[in-house]
Amino acid sequence: MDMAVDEQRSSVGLGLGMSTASNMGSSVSTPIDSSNIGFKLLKKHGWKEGTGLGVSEQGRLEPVQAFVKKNKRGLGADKPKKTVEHSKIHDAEEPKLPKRKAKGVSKKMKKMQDFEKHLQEKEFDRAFFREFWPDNV
Amino acid sequence: MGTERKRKVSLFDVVDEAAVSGKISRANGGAGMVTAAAASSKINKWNGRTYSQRYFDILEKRKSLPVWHQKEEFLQALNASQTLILVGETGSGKTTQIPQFVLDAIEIETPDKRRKYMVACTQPRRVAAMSVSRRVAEEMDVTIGEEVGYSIRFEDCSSAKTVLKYLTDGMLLREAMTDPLLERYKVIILDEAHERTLATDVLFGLLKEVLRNRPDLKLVVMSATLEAEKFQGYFSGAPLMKVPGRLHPVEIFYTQEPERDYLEAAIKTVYQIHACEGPGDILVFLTGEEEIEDACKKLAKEIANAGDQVGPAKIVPLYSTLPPAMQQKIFEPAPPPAVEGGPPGRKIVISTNIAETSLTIDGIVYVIDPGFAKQKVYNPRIRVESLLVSPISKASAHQRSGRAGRTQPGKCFRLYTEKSFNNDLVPQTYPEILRSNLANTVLTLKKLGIDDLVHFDFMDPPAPETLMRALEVLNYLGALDDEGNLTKLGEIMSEFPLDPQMGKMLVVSPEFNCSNEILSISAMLSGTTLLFSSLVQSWVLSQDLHRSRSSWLSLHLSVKFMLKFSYMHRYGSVDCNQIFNCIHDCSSAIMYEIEIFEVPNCFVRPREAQKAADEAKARFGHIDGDHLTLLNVYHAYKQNKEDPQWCYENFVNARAMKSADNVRQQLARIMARYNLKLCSTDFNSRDYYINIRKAMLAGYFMQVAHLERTGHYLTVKDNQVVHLHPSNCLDHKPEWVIYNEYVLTSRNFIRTVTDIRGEWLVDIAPHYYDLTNFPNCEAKRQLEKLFKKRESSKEETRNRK
Repeated sequence: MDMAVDEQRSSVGLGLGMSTASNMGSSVSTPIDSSNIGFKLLKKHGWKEGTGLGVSEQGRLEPVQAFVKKNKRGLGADKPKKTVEHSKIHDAEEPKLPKRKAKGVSKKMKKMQDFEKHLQEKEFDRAFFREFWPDNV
Repeated sequence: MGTERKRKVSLFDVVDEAAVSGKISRANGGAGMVTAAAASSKINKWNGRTYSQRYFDILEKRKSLPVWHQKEEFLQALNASQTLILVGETGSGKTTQIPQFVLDAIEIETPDKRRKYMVACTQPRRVAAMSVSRRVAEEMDVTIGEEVGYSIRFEDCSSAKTVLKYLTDGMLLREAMTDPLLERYKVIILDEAHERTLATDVLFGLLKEVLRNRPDLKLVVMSATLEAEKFQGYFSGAPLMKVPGRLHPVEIFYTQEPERDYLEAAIKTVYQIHACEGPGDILVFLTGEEEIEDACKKLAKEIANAGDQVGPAKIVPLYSTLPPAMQQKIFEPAPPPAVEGGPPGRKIVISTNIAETSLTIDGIVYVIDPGFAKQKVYNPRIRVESLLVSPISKASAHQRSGRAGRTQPGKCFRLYTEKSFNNDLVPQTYPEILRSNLANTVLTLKKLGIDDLVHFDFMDPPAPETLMRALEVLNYLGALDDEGNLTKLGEIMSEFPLDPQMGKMLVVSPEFNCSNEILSISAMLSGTTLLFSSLVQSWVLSQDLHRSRSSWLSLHLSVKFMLKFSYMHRYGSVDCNQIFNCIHDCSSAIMYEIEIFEVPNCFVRPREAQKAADEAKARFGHIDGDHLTLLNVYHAYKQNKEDPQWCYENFVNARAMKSADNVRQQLARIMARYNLKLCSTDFNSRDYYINIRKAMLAGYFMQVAHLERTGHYLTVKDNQVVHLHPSNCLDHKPEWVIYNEYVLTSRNFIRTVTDIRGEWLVDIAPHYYDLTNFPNCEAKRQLEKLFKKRESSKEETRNRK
C-alpha cells in the first residue's frame, strides 16, 4: 500500500511541475530551458537549436528514454498501455491509468489487475527489504 | 586440428564453410613454417633468456586457437592498411594472441634505436587488463611488469622495458592527456570494441584524429561480430577480417502470444524442458538478485512436486553479490540420473546478464530469454543515473541464444513473439555514451584540447541536452568559464581520475583547512576494492579451453582452489599476487579471468553474523553523516596500525581499506604536484567537522536535498522526491543534506548523506543558489529567508563600522 501512496505523492509534485514548466522542478518531458547556462554554453560551442551533435550534426536529438518497469509483464504484453507508459520516471499521468483501464473492462481483466497489484505489493515489500540491507555479502 | 572439430555455422554466424576449411588448411601450412622458424631459436628475443619448457608447452596449445590459423592473413592486412577491423567471437583467442602477432611483425625500435615503441591493447574492464597481461607474460615467457605490463586506474605495472601494455580504455584516454599524439605507441589495439564503453567511444573519435597526424601509427579494432559493418563505415572503409568462432547451430523458438508474466513463463518453460527435452543444461536470463532467488525457490518446489517423473536438477543462481560458496556451483557438473537409465539429471543456471558475454558456462544446451535486463540509464532532464529493468536489444538476444551452442547444437526459447522481437527490440544496446552523465568526459575532452565538442567525431553523438548538463555542471564547479574555456581550476580538476565534484572538493579543501580529511573521504568513496569474494567476480573465461572431460575437470579444480583463496583474501590474509601464482600453477591450459568486483563498501556484513556486523558499524557511526562515518573508519584503521585482525573483528573489509589507503596516496601525490597543501583543523576545535562538511559542500552543492514539511526530501532544483537510504548513520532528519549517490529503484533513495546547513549553501555556492533562476518550492522560500538574514547581518556590520 505504501507504494501507492508514495507514487501519488511524487506524481502530484511533478504534476505541478509540468503545468508550470520551466518555473518548477525538472521533469523527463521538459527539455532543458534556453536560460540554462549549459544551453547557452552549447550554443557558444556552435550548436544550433534543433540540430544534433557530431561531424555532420547527425546525432540524436532526444535523450535515451528510461522506463521504470514495475511489473513482470512479458515483452510486448505492455503494448496497449505503451503510450501512457512512455512517461518513464514518475509521470503525472500515472494515477489516471487505473481509471482509464477500469472503464468497461471485463471481470477477467479486473481479476488480472488485482493479481498484478498484489504481485506489485509483494515485490515492493521484498525490494524494500533488500534495499534495507543492500550489501549482504 | 581445426578441421577435426565439428564446426557448424549457427543461424547468425554467416561464414562460408568451404572457404573456412580451405583457409584453415592453408593457414595450417603457414603456421607450420612459423613453428619451424621459432623452434630454431631457443632464445627469447625479449629478455635474452633461454625459453623454458613451459613456453613450448603453452605454444602448442596456443596454436590450436582459431586465430592462429589466420596469423599470416592478419599480418598482411595489418601491413597493408593503417586501420584494421578484426571480428572474432569469444574463444577465438584474439585478446591474447593478436598483440603477440603484432609484436612479432613490427619494428619495435625507434629509428634512432634509442628507445622502444610500445603496443597497447585496451580492455573495458580493469580485471581483464590485469589477468590477460599476466597470461600473455607467461605465454611470452617474460616477467609481468617488465616486457609485458598493465596499467589501470591507481595502478601502473609496467616499466621502461615494456613493449606490450594492456590497459583500460580509460587509462589510454588519460595518457592522451599528457601525450596527445600517443607517441610512445606504434600499434594501438582497441579490444572488445563492441562493448562500446564510454572511454572506447571517446577513443574512437580521438584516435581518428591522431591517425591523421601520425601516418606511422596503426590501429586494430577488435570486436564481436554484430556491429562490424558500422565500425567499417566509421573508420572510412577500413578492411575487415573475420575469425570464425566456435559455435554450433541454435534453434530459436518464440511464443505465440506475449507473456502475461515473464517470470512465471520462464519457470514453466524450464520445467517443460526438464521434463521433455534431451540431456543438456539450462541457462535462464533474469534481471536481478531477488527475481533470481524467487525463481530458484519456485522452480525447486515445482520439480520436487513432480517427484520421480523428472530427473534430478541442480538449480544454481548467479549474480554479482552472491556468496562464494554458492557461486562455486555454476561449475559443478549436472547430477547423474536418479536411477540407472532414468530421466537425465540437469543443471539449471539462473543468471543476470553476467552470463551473456563475459562468462562461459560449459554444457549449456537450452537458453531461456525473457528479453529483459538491468541497464544503466542517465536522464539529463532530471539528472539521474540509474539501473533500470529494460528490454534488451536484438544484438543481446542473439548473444544470449548463442550461449546455447557452445558445446553442441542447442535451443533458445524466447519468451516473446517473433513480432515483438522485430518491433519492440532496438537493434543494438545503446552505447554507454548515450546513457551516461558526461561531465567527466567533457572535462577530459577539454583537457585534450578538443574545443569543438559539438562537431567532435562521435560514432554515436549524445543528445545535446546531455552535453548541456555536463557543461552546466562544469561551469558551476568553476572548471569552465562562461565562454566554455577550461579554467586553471578545471585543469587541476582534470588531473584527478575522479568525478568533477570530488575533484573540486579536493582542490578547494586546503581553503577549508581540512585537505587531509577530504583526501581520506575521497579515497574511501572511490577506493574500489580488489575483493575476491565470489566467483562471478572470479569467473573463468574459457579462451582456449578444450571441451574434453579432463580439462573440464582441471578447470573445475582450479576454480575450487581459487575460491579457497578468495576466502582468505577477503579477510586480507593473502596477497593478490599469491593468488595469481597459485592459479597459474594449478592449470596453465586454461585461460581464466578473475573479476575483481568493485566494492566501494568498507563494511563486511556476512549473512551469519549480521547483527554483530551492524553493531560494529554503529560504533563508527557519526551522527552528522555517512561521509564522516567513513572518515571515522579510516582513522580507526590507521590508529590500529592497519591490522587485518582488527578489521576482521570489526567487520571492516581489510582489502577495501588497503585499497582506499593506496588511492589516498595516489591522490596525495597529485595534490603535491599542484602545490595543494595538506592540512587539518585541530581535532578539538569546534570547527573540525564543520570545515570538512563545508569543503564537501563546495564540491557537492548540486547534490542537495531539502526536508519538506510533509516529511520527505526533495532534491534541490530538480524537485524529485527522495528518501534517505536505510543504511545511513544519521540519528535525525536534517533539514538539508548532501548526497553522494541517487539510487533509482522502486523507491528513490539517496545514499551516503551528510547533514549541512542552509546558510552554507548561500555562502559557498551563491551562484548556484541564485533565486532569480530557481523553481518554486519550500527550499526556495527557506533560501530566501537565509539570503535576507545574510543581507541584514551584512548591513549590521556595516552600520557598526
